[in-house]
Amino acid sequence: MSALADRMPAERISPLLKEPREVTARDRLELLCDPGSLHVIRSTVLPRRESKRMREGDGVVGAAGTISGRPVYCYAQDQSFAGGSLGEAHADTIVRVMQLAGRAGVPVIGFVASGGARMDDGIAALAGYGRIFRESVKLSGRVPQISVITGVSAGGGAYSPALTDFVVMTEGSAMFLTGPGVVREVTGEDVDAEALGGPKVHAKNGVCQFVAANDHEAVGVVRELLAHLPQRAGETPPHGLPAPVPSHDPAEFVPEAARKVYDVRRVIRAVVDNEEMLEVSSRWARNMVTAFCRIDGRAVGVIANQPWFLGGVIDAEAAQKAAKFVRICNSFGIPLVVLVDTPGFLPGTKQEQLGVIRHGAKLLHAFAEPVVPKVTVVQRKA
Amino acid sequence: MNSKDLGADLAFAWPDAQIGIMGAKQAVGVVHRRAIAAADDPGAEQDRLAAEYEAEHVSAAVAAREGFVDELVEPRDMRRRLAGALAALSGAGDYGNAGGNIPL
Repeated sequence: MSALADRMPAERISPLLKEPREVTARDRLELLCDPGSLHVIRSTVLPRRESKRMREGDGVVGAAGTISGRPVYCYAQDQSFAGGSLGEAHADTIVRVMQLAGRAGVPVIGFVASGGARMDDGIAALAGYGRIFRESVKLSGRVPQISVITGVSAGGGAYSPALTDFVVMTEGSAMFLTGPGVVREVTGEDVDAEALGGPKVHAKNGVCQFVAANDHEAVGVVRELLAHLPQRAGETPPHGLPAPVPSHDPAEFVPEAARKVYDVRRVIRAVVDNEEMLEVSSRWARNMVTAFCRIDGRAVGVIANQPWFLGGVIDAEAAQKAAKFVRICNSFGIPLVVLVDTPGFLPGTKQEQLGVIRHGAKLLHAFAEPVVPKVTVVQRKA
Repeated sequence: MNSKDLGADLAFAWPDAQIGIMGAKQAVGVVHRRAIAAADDPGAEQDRLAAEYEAEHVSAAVAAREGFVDELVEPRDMRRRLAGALAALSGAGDYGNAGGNIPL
């Protein structure tokens, strides 16, 4: 992933590298968007009710900007003010940003670091989350929504990113419905934030799709993702530059004996442009690979059984992973390339108890539904 | 995954691929359970039946002959065929719902 950050122009990174200080919410938006493109809104808004803690902007920065020249809306929560907690005015800024993104038909990117609903604001804070959830669902499948978790996000701060299409977690961030303090009080379990909901936990369970070492890497992932996505449903993702024909024969990486395993990612690299793939959920259900790639410049979503793990068998988790990815591709007009090499569904008591029938049905539904082009290639076993 | 009948626009297979309900050995274990048990050498009988079943039901050549696979594609030709398929299908989607052009 550091390769992504390396590819960013040096002048965009240097001001932050030169001054090793706390990265502010505003810095994150500056880092995300093209230089000079950021237009902030509601920067002087205050809570309507007097409270001990008052700051212009109410702990969140909302803005319009461009990424590689394409317009986006974005916001960043400031964990240094009231723990990034969601007050009423704070919530209104996020809702405004999302409404404008929907109106313009452009992606919305949120940097999330929020302890949850702000206690000072009581039910008005909870109502704020209600408005955010509703707005996010309204945008779902219409414009790409991406969340970057930059701090500790609890309760609504974990659910609001979970409603978006992609979640990127930075090292040191955490997501959970209830924090370690409440967990200890209620169940007696003693656990810290990282073990409860750090990137390692959520990369493996599918809650987050990408883990980044820092803000620079996270922004690199977001920009890379957007390069594979259209501005809104109904538009085509941007075309890549012409690429030379790959030099490898995919058969080189596949053993003839059906029971011998191999890394299907080498097969994918052998058929896509520049051998480049942006793997989605690389740590979750590793027996299924999902990735954005290009073929002849055209953005595609690749779904492949991965014989390297569990022989490429399809289990409850793999079925959900593939289904989720297929639905995102279909929402945003990205053709599907499906590489099949699997012994089939994993048999047994454990899978049946997990409800493999229900999860497998999600995959069947996802594959039968799309209107985007769908092409399947069987390598060894189907 | 994503077979033609489930809705794939095009299904390709490498020429040596095997496509079926389950592995040939397991399949004959179900279908010919009694015959295998009655054989002098059940293991050898299962292998013999499996080879037969494989040739008849599981090979990609059979799937292509019967139209479940649209074309057998050599691995080295895979990228070219994928690129061609995606280009040809790039206009796929919902369109033209206004009704047919009835000859009036």
